[in-house]
Amino acid sequence: MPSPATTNLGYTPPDGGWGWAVVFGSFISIGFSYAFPKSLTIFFKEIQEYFSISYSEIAWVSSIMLATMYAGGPVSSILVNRYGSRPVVIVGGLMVGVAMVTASFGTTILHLYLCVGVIGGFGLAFNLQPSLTIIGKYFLVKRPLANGLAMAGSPVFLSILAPLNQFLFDHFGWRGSFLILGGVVFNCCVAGSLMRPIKTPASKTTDKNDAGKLDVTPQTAGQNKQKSGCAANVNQFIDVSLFKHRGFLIYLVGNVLMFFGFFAPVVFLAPYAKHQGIDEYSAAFLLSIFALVDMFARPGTGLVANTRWIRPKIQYFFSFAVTYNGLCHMMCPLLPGYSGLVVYAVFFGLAFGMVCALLFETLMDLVGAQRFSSAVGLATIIECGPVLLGPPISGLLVDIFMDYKYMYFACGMMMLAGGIFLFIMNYFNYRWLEKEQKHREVEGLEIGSAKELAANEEDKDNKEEIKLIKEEEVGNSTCKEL
Amino acid sequence: MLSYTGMLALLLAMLPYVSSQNEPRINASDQEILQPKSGQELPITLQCNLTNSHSTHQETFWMKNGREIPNTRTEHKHTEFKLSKPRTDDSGEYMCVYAFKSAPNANASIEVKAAPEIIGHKRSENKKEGENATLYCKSVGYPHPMWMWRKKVGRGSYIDIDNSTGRFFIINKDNFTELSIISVDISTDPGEYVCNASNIIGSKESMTILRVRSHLAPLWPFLGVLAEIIILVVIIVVYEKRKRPDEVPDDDEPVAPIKTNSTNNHKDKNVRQRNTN
Repeated sequence: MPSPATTNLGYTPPDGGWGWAVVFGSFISIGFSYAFPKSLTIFFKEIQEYFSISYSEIAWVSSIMLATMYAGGPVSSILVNRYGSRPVVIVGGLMVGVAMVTASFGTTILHLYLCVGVIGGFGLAFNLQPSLTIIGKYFLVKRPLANGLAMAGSPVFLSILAPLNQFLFDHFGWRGSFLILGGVVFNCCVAGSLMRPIKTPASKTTDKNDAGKLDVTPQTAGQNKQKSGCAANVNQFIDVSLFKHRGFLIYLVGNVLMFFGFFAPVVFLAPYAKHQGIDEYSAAFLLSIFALVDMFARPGTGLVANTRWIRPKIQYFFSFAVTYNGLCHMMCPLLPGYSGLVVYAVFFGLAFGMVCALLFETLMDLVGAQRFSSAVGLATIIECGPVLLGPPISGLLVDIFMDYKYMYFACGMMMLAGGIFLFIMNYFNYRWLEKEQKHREVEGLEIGSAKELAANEEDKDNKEEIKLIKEEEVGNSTCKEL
Repeated sequence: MLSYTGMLALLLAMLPYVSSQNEPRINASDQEILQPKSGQELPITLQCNLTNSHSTHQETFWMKNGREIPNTRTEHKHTEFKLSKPRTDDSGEYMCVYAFKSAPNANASIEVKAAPEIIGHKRSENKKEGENATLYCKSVGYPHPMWMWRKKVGRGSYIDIDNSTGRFFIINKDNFTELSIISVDISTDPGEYVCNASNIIGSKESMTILRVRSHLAPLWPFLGVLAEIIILVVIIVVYEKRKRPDEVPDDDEPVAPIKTNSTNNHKDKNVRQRNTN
């Protein structure tokens, strides 16, 4: 069963129906968020020649976009907490679209940094967080499957956008392509319009419930009343008390370790193949194999994680996925030739898909769907560091040793460290959670019985009162009649 | 009887003969013409033989087009350079060079000629109107070819490039030619351009297509995509609005029974009981 934290929603998520349309909307949004910055690299050579700049200057566009996408997480979370998912996604889609259209008229590289990098990055951040949050609102029992399906958007969109961008570039040049891509990105607004807000009973029962009854409002509101001062002000927007949440801290530390070695092997797969003497097309084909396996691994992992054997211990499954990733990287330099690299690409695709599918599901599992939007915002801004530093550091390793195997060993070590850390800490976390659950049940029984007594007392008093009132009325009416 | 002047004249006449006897004499093979495309790639051997030298011969090596060919140094007077499967880029001016201890080098050159082959060109060039376009061709083959640019009109007929607008510039180097068009015009410039390389052995051509896009070309797909998005959003919103009146209000009975409900029920029951009494 999911941990107790998740059931504090106050209502039953539909787990189907319109939820699948929402999953499709999230699929589109997540697809654009992850695949769009990567697919823009196809235009870089032409833009580099057009503006007469160096390769590192053009690579900044991609880096700024990714950095703002991760750094914009908390902003996105605050807006989602306030306004819900739908408006934020629509605004995000509009932002990226307008940014791309403006960039197509740009005259200096600075325009591209600002439009594509900053505004585009924020727009994508406004797409990513709400899509993940709304899945938690619509699904509980089938949530891992929904997460897996939605995260599959990233490889699917990358496979579509890469050839599309090449086609647009050949026919329209980079300016025309940016204009058309701006239009294509407006599809995020379509995805956003699918994300119908769910009517929580919290908004309705506040009318019915009088004072003195049990509060059905969300946990965060309850906590707000306890704190005071500027902490309360910040807490209204984003739940900073998450930093005291044990599960969240475990997740954060494990993920920071993991992300140092997560993306670099993807970036260096093709260069490593070429370094081995493999021709360009076969090297590119390796990436296609990787993306294809990734595409099916994500929903598959979601399906597996949904089974009743894995769901209760999903944190172990995630630790296993991270460790398996690390092992793949350690083995890679030992596999000889092109067939070895193909085998590696298949296993790595599987591992990558598993980790990505479970990445946000485990966070939801730890902190609960209510606090998820704040959690994911805080997590992404902290993960921003290793995600951006990982590939350049790996590149540095390759440059220093002039050999790719040390980079693979380093990445493998980081992922193994992250995986083992998560495994051990989650073992303890599960034990502590079980203890707390038992403690709460015992307390609940005690409180329950005490409240029953108090309620019964209240009942008796009320009965007496009403009896007296009714007798008075009867008395009065009989008096009047008489 | 020879007079004194007669002997002097004879000596003078013999002087060139005597001095030439002291010059090193090299026997070199004739020039070769390569036909790599004919299918019979017969191996070619270039030979040099030093028949007469006045100074101590040290070593011999080969040079191609002014640069020394590695691993050809020997001490023999007879030297060979073999081209086993000669290709067009093996053509050029070959020299066998003899180095002496205390005398300047002596050499003989053998030309290996071939028809030019075009090894590098752009298959297509796509530019927006007003931009500058560059078409180029690279070749191998010796002697270096003469370059000519033509434009295809109609079926199979070519015309020389009309530079009345002054926008066409051609740069010709030994094995390279470049045609630059400043500010391409969408009505007159698009088409097939042909670069022709020819030397005394043969000639070769290759074609590049120049395409010019109008400024507004990307606008139509953009508007098409926008239309699709607006239609989809309208459909989704209309579907949602139509569903709302039919939708039963959400069930707000929570799954976990809350204790307050039981007290509510008690009250209701009590009131009812009271009323029925």
